[in-house]
Amino acid sequence: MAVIGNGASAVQIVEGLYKTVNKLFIFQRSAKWLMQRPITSLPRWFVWCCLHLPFLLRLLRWVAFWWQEALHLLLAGTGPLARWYRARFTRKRADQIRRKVPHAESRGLVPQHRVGCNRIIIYKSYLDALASDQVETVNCGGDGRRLQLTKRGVSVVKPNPAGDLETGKVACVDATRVGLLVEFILTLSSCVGRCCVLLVGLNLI
Amino acid sequence: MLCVVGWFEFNLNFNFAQPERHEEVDAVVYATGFTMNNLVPPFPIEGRGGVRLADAWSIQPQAYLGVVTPNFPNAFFLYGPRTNTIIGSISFFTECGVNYIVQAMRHVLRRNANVLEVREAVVREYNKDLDKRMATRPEASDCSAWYKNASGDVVQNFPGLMTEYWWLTRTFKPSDFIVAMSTSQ
Repeated sequence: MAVIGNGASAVQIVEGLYKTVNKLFIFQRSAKWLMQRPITSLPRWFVWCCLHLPFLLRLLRWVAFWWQEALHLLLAGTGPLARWYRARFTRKRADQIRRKVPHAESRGLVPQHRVGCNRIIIYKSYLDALASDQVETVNCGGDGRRLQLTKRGVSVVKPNPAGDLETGKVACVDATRVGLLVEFILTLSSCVGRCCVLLVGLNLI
Repeated sequence: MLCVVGWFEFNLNFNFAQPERHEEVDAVVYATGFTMNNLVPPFPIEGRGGVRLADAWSIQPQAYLGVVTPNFPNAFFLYGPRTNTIIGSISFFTECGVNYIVQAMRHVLRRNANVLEVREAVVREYNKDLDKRMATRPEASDCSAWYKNASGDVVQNFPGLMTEYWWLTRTFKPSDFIVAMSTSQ
């Protein structure tokens, strides 16, 4: 099987399928920055609490909101604190990729661009997938490379306009995000919002 | 959760040289994303004087708060130009947009009018400001991303926090708009 792309949809597809196929090729232009989901499933008691305790969902949404705002300021800001956090964020993420995936550097799996330049991918088991024997990544970015889909497979080629016509079939797949925003929230306390306002006031972010 | 939403035939009008690499597979998942840089809906929208939205937004979509655009009276957009974000919730942006649109409609109805159009100068100033702020943002740095259009400009993202967008859309400002009564259909 071949998955073309390594964005949010591709990552979810790979996570869902890599254990069930003999070989899975991921065709990617460049590596993406990845963030692991802190919580991958919601326990039943938690769902019950959300449904029955008044204001709990509202509180969770509020916490999630301010956590996201804080992260946004830290990743996109230009102040010293933001620069320090960004450096720490990218170092830790890159180290995690190197630690979990063999030959990550030579396979082009460590992102080189500034975090936030393209979409940050939230993953559940993508690094496990990349580290497994079934999954192989194929780099097809740069130098005007293109993918050619033939009847029997996928090729990485340099284009030469004009010529014959090739026909095949492509599955058009849509991935539905089953995660909820509340999955993010238990990692930081609700005081983050206030801290942010203070830090912006001090011009640190 | 995966669902196959369809199959399509593809044609390639290229005759490539010897491939650098070839992998034989029995299924191809086309996870190459959505058409994000074309914000124009697939159906035709015509504004005042026969202006087509497809033309007006072909290169650099200009909208005010992502919800209204000049020359298109009474047309409101959700998740329009510059209402995406690198970290945050798109649903929140949409909620703020809905709040703004409802206020705009109430204003028109209260004035017994039926035409609402954003002032061109307001849109220009707003987008100029966003462009300036975008220059130092991560989205403007060098990488391949669907945030950028063909010429490399970031026309998708709002260069600020969700809180700021909420603040901007919190109250409808009548001075940004032309409100009129039209008798023509």
